[in-house]
Amino acid sequence: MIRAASPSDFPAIRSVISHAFGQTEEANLVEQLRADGDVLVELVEATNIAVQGHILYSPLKIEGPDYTINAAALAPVSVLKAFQKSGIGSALIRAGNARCGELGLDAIVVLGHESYYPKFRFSAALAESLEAPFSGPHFMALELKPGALRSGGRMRYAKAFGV
Amino acid sequence: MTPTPDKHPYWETSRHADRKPFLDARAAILRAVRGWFESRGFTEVEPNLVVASPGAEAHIDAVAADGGFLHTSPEFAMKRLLAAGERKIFYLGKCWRKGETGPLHAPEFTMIEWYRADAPYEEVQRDCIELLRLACNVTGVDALRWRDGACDPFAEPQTISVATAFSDIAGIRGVIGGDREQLIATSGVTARADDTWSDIFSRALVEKVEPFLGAAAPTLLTEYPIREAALARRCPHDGRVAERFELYACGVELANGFGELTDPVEQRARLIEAMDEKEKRYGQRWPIDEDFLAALAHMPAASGVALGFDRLVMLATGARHINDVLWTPQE
Repeated sequence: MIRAASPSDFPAIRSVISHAFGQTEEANLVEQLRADGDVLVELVEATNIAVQGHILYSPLKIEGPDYTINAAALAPVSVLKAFQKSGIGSALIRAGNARCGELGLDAIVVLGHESYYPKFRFSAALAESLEAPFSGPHFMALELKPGALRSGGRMRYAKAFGV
Repeated sequence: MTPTPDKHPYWETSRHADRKPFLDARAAILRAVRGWFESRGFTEVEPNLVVASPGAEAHIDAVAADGGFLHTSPEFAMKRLLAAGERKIFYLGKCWRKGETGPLHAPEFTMIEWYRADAPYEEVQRDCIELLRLACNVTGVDALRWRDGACDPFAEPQTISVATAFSDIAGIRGVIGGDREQLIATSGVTARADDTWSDIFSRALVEKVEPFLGAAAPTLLTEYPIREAALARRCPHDGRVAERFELYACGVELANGFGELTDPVEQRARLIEAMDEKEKRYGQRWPIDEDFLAALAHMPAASGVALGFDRLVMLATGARHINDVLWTPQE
């Protein structure tokens, strides 16, 4: 079942992220985002017993000369190794993207696998208008409001990302 | 408190000063634990340390001593005392397991082991949780800590059956009824030709399940496959599993308990099975303790549990190595 993460999930989430990535940097990032109040959407896939997957979206401002696009940065998404390729990651991304739409956000940006995220309508071409420390096929965006990224702008990630 | 990563001997003054907070905490927890048992009407017992048959575990090695062995646990002796009429007893002292070394293991370690006659195993599970809370109250911390993890002992403990833990945490289904080949296929564990079902089960548990247990609150892992519970009675609702539990915090196993098996016929069969396995794997078998089996026929229904005292101290103090909490570590 996918549901919003609660504080009682946080230790298990740390464990899931650390094991999924084989290091603690991503888990530390999630905890810093929470500490900074920079969490827009945080979901888990969980049974009554265990957290099996996790996804987090943080606020991302895309600033133009006289406008701001309210976007979300999708990072990280983690699934316990035993459940990878079982559809949990996809379900979390779909649910998380939908929740971002409900929040009235304009777009979502992700740095991820070029052959995985396009199935959720993420596109490297849409990200080309963004001034970011990243570029290339792994840097992708999804418009929740059609045309939202047309004018592009300078990206400001949450502080915890350090970019 | 700061752990001590250096290589100086434990008696070197500056190293001892570094370890001193852990050792003081150990002494305080030890006093509190004794008080806890005494206030609940338990009697402390002192079984012999040198025994003819040191245990029932196929994969545990014992230290030879004076024609016998140093006990790996006081279980057989304490069950004799239950047969003799004792009702609530505890042991707080040393046990030995040869060759077990590492951050969480020392060959000579301290065990808290206790039994309650005519009590369900949920009762000793509750005892375990109370002892975790007691240790944290003594050291003044709100969480048990190990490496990257923190576990709140005051939170409601989580009880998970082995079958559910394997399926929900590791995606391994059918662990209870399945055979060796099925377990290899579903667990993804690399198996050698001579690995038994139990070897593969243990590896899957350690590698794929344990790290996630006790992440937020203490976890009681219950209902072990019968072949992994040599001294536990069968669960009334499912004879394939036994009333065995292990207690976890921060992925660390802290305690192992049973609804005790009191049927001497079944116990003999399980001991022989365990010793057959020991002989096959390690070329060694311990003698069957006939006196223990004789006493078992007179033992009341009971529940018992062994809790690693050193590990309890470690997690309640944030120590990073068992040698930080041992007064005289063997290094």
